Amino acid sequence: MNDRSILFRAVTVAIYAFLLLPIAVVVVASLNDGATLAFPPKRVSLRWFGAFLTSRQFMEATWVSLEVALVTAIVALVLGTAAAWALARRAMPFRFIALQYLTSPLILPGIVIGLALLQFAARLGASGSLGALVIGHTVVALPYAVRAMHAAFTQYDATLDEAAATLGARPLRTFFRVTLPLVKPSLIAGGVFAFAISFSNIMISAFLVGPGTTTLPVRMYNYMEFSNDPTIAAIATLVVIAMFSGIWALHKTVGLGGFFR
Amino acid sequence: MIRAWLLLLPAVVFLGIFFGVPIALVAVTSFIAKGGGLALDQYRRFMLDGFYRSFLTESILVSVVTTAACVVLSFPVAYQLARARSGVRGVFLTLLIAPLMVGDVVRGYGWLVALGDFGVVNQALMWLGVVEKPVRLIFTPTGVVLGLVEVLLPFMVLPLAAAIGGIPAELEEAARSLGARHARVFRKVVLPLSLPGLAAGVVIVFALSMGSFAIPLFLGGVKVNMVGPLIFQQATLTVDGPFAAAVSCVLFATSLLLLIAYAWVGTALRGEPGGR
Repeated sequence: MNDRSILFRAVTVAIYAFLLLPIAVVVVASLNDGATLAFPPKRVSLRWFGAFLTSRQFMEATWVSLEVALVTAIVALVLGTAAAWALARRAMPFRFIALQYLTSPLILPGIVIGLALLQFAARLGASGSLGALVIGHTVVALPYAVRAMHAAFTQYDATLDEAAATLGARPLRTFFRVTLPLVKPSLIAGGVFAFAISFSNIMISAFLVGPGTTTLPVRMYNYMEFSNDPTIAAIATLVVIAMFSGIWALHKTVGLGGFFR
Repeated sequence: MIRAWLLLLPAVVFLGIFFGVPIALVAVTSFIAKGGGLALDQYRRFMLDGFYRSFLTESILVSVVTTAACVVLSFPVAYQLARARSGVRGVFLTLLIAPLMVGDVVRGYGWLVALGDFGVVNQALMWLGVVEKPVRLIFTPTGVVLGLVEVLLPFMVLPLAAAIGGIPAELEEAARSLGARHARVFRKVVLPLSLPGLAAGVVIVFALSMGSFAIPLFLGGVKVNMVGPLIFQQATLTVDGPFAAAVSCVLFATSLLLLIAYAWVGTALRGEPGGR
């Protein structure tokens, strides 16, 4: 190994350190024993994890977030899988534009989507409802489902479907018994991403939450405005652990290749 | 094929009703004048009032600096990712993607703790002897840019790594065997061939930075004026719907133009509309 490649590695490691800095800081801060954020902690304790787990407000918000994320992931997967299959397996006009349209909430500003849905929900008298939250989250999670499934279906070997059809399987049966099982890895990946995008969303939720439907990220932000005890750090640490385990599990089982194209 | 259309329909209609229609209503709202009727009052206020215009100019400034920093930082990371063995690549992909899923609240909070007067960054700077006493980082444009670069870097790295991965390694070896040094190989081979990926990344990062919300809210406070927090504040605290709508329309139109540019770059990259 020459000097240049050592330098290259050092630079790369430094950039990753920068990328992971705020997450590492949160994890260390959560272990503080005191009521203020000393860094590094003077005494180590897990009491703020207890504070989170025994707080009714935070527990309620966690359940709201889990519910909304689960329903969002299911709706996004169903809509996204159907659309991606049609776009990838069948020739049709405006295919390119349709794909751009379905994935456009990735780039178009979430803050505007949030405001638009707030004003829309107000007109329909649905402000602050769980349904409004699920719909808003599905708009921003749908592109992840569409992209994961579109990638899977474009690489899919269509002769397998033809074989099933030759053996007498109807199109619907072929889809559920042959096609879907074969793209299961992408289905799982798309579902996990849609779930995570919904669970940690703040931009859309900030506009759409109401009494009884406050999500965890919004509750965390509200709490931060009047207190800086390490409860937030403890919650953040649990979110970090959950997300890193989830993505790591995806890497180990179905692979993260979809992101590398 | 009539059936394929039917499968595409639910997603298209869903986005139409819950994305297209609400955005169109925002556009209509933005033209509502104070006394009723339609007018450009809200746009005039946003563009001509120096205070409000500063939100747009500061957003652009912060986004330009953020994008430039991401371009510089993304090359080593993307190159390493593209040329790594697949097992190693999975580890680094996890490190890039997991933070995206963790979300902006957790990372914004982390930066708030890290950038404080006695946070790790200031402690490190003092230990290294760069500064004598803590420098103010929270509620400064520097702090916002640091947070945004960290949050948005993966969006630059991923398309760039994909582009670099498409360059045959033999091409670099050939250039080197002909006597070109590393810097020259980078400038003459890697850089030109990865430009489409870089362009895609630039468009995404700039658009996401312009529309960012949590990071400028946490790290900028009332000291750094950006469009995202302005829309939120006007809509929920000041309850000025039409003005929030006008600001939203300006931001949305900017992003839409960038999206079209992005689609165009993608088409150029793959050589045919729609790709594979």
